[in-house]
Amino acid sequence: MPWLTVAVVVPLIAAALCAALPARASRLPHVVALGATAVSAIALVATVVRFDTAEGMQLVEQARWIPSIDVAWRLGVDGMALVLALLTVVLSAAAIGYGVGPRPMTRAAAGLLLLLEGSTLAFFLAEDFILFYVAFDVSLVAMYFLIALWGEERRRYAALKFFLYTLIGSLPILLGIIALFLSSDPQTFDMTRLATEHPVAGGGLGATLVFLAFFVGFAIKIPIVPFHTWLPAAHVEAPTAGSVLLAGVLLKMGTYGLVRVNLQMLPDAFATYALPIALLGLVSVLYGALVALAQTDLKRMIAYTSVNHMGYVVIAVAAAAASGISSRARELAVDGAVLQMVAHGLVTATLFFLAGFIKDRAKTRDLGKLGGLLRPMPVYGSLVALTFFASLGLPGLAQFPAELLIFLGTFDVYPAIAAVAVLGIVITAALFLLALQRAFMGTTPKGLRKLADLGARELVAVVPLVGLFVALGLYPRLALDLIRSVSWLAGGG
Amino acid sequence: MSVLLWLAVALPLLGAPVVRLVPRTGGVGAIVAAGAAAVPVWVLLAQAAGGSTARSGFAWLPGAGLEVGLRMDGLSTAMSATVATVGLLVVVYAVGYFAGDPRRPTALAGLLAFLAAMQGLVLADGYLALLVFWELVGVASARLIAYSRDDSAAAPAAVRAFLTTRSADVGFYVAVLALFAANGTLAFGTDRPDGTLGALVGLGLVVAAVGKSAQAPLQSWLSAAMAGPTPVSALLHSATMVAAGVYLLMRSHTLVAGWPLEVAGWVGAITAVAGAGIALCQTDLKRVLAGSTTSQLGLMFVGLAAGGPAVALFHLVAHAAGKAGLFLTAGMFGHARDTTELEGLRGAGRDDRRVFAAFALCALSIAAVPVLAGFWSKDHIAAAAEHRVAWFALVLVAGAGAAAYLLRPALILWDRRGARGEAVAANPARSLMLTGVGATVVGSVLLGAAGGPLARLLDEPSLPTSLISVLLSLAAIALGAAAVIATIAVPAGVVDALRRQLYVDDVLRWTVQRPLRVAAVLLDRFERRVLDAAVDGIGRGGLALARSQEWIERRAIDPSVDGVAHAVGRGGENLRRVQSGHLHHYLRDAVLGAAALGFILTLTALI
Repeated sequence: MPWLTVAVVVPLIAAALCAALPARASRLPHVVALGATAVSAIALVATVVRFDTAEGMQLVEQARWIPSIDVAWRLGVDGMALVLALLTVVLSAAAIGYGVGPRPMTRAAAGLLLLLEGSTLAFFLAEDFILFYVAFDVSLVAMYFLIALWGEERRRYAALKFFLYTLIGSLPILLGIIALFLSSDPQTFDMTRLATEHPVAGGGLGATLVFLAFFVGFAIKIPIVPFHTWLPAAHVEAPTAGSVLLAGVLLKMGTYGLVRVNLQMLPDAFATYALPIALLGLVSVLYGALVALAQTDLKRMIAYTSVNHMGYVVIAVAAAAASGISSRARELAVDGAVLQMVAHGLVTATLFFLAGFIKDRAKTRDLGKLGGLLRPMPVYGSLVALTFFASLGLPGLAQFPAELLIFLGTFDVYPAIAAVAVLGIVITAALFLLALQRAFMGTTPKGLRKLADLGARELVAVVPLVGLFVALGLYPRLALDLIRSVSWLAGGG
Repeated sequence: MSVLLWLAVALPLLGAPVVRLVPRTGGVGAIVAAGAAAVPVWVLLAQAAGGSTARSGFAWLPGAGLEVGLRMDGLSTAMSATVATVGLLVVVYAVGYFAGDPRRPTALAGLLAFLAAMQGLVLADGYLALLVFWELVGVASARLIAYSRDDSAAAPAAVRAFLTTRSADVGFYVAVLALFAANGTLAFGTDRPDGTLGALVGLGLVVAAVGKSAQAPLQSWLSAAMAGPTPVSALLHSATMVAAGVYLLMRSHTLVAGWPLEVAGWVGAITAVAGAGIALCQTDLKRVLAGSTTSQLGLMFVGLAAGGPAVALFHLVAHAAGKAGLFLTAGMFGHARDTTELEGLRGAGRDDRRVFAAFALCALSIAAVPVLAGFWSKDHIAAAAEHRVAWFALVLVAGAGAAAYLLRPALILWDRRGARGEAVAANPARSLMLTGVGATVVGSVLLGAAGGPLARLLDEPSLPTSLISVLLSLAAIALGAAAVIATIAVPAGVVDALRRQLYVDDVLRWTVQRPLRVAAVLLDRFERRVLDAAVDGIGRGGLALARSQEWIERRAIDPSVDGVAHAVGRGGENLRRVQSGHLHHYLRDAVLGAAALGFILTLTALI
């Protein structure tokens, strides 16, 4: 059974099916979407069962597509692709279960969520560059509509900004892909081959340009300061489930690309530019944390902490690029970077759910107008506190092992950068604790005393995510044992 | 044995949710959990005293070869037994203290969760596990400080405690990174690496210890933390959590040996005196005790630097009993008078003589009056510091200060003028509290005999003693007491400075908090007005032709479809060209074609 193909194609077929459903309101689109996601999940679980942690890229499924230029339907997994695909399906299930827009969910909403799920899964599982690129752009379209149709007041502005910015970012990626294709011999879009053969070796002008083309595209997506301004706008205006997928899945496409393409296919050029890129990552860490500290809108604050957390990933990948192949530092940094992608995905997705829940009730996310929420909403308050602590890197929760691995790996290569980056954990601790103090502790303003605590639908959306980031925090090997097979290919074999 | 290790952490950890979610288990459930947790700990201590050691761990970060595990040796079991015992008696006391409080399950569960984290900290094997529990202890304590919902100071105090200690924890992180980089392991007991890495390890650990143990200049969070309920103060802010800093340095003795330990000794000696001064000038009994705690922890730092781990450990244990007793009795006075302000407590001791007797005995022990526990343990510190004149002098001053700052509240409590003459009603809650208090008194009296066994537990033959230092110490105590009895006036400016924590808070506010806040606001403004405005400006320019919303959307969707076609088309086109050409031809075209790329080139040139 071609499980990877099943995982990717079923949501896409279901999306088309949703479009074909009758227009009248019914629960059917929602059921179809959940069913398709369940099939994807089963297919990925089957993949985990067959996955061999001693191998790198494996379980490749191929079908000819445009043989003359060696474009093919190629899917495959290594540890990184597998855990990110799992993350995608988990977050998609939570987002679809929670829903977007009016209830029952319309066929358009269900279809777009499925389109987003299918395209992001295709992106992470793609081993063909054309598929990779198409999936990247299709996911933009799906997210554009999710924001533009069901977002908040300034949704059209935010959606367009997100779309144009990342689309412009995808153009240099396309140029880079073509450059890699042209320099391979025989020419191919097969990513596995490109990663092992290194058609653009060395750090000369050609390699530099190709490297930078990819880097800019992914830097916008991650996002790295100063290419990040689309992110807060998109997050603030997006519907709750849209923010969840944007932060949880779409940002990971950038860091995934950075590892899969820049690190694996262009290691020499990356080694040349590792230091400035690590510094950009450090700027993201500190800038994201500081700007987050100044925010009063809960969603905006969380958005900037994403800049901070993804900055750690950038630092780690740069450190891996600078250190020798099969060095301990490289292994630790890549392990940490990928674990951080998963951990941040789970934690930040939960944060955006929680931010959406309070907006639904209190009609505001302004930290200055909220207060004493622990009293009327003890369950909600406890979940927020736990997730805030997860996000500030408390041990026992998923981001701690990830950030520790990143620091350990980076310190071998760039001790000063690692040491300064540690300061980021103090600033994030400050901003989360101050937010907790303002909105959750102390006395409850009159208007908020009667707020209802979380209902079943909301708990079903977040509790599994919380369970996962707690489990990963207690026993990170749940993911690390899978992830570690990426280190094999991180050097390009 | 490894089962016992894990039980020591697991029992209170499992007790916490049970007590919280099944309020019917009431106080009994909490006492059972804390009591059951003490059993494996004492068994372990007995085995460690017999010379055996054990460890148990599992691979946690396989790539780094790092394990999370627990260990049993002399130091860890001595600490663990202290934590479990003080924990048990504080829980017994707390069951009475919180009687009638509808949120008692929350408080008791918080205490049990804290105990679990603290047991993990002292039993941790290796710096990874130690760091994990170190941070968990920080959160567990912040939760307890924030317990009160009526006191508006509680939440800010909790946040402050957590943020101060976590700032210092940057030192811990850096030390861990440097140690791993140098040694490739985070196991205990290695020697300090050479050069910069070694310096980072040593200094980082000292910084972390200074923050956790509320040493100058990071002492003021402890005073603010007195907003937490009194049993919490008794457990966290005297006997256990703040002791973690001292424990870290005892555990890392080989890593901080040399100048880092010298730094710690100086910090401790200065804090011992500053804390005593701060304690002397407070108007709230709990804050007096908080100042006293920083001072006594400072003495432990001196003892460690001058005399080694056993000296510090002995004082830690003796101080734990005495200071817990002081807090617990303070809590009973506080219950009787609904305040812990010294003026409000005037005469409270006469109204409740049994509790006052306990207070007095514990105070005498902390003031190092013969023959109570604190006398013996402090004697070794003074003797060890004898060869360091400056440290020795500071220890003597701190000793005089201890006599003064404890005699002052004792005199107020015993003041006839404030006595109300009401009989104290006996009730079950009071009996529980008295049980807890009684145990601390027993400890304050008997633990003086613990010095030798503790030293043997750490494989040290004997503790330093000196007749001269005993005599000088006693003279200092007498002097301190005489100063209070003679009510020697201190200049108002000095009092004010000491009440305000020697302006350390103001300095930190102006050098750290404000600049950080200003930087955040400025960057946010830069973000909105420059960076984002520039992006929007470019976007607006590009979309100047847009006439309507519909038009924009059409334009926005189309390019992605074009993109796909473009990808395939461009690929084919280039294929054709390159079959007859060269790579650099294509690259030249690509550069000319993509303006974005040029922009990036300039950008990287700037970098």
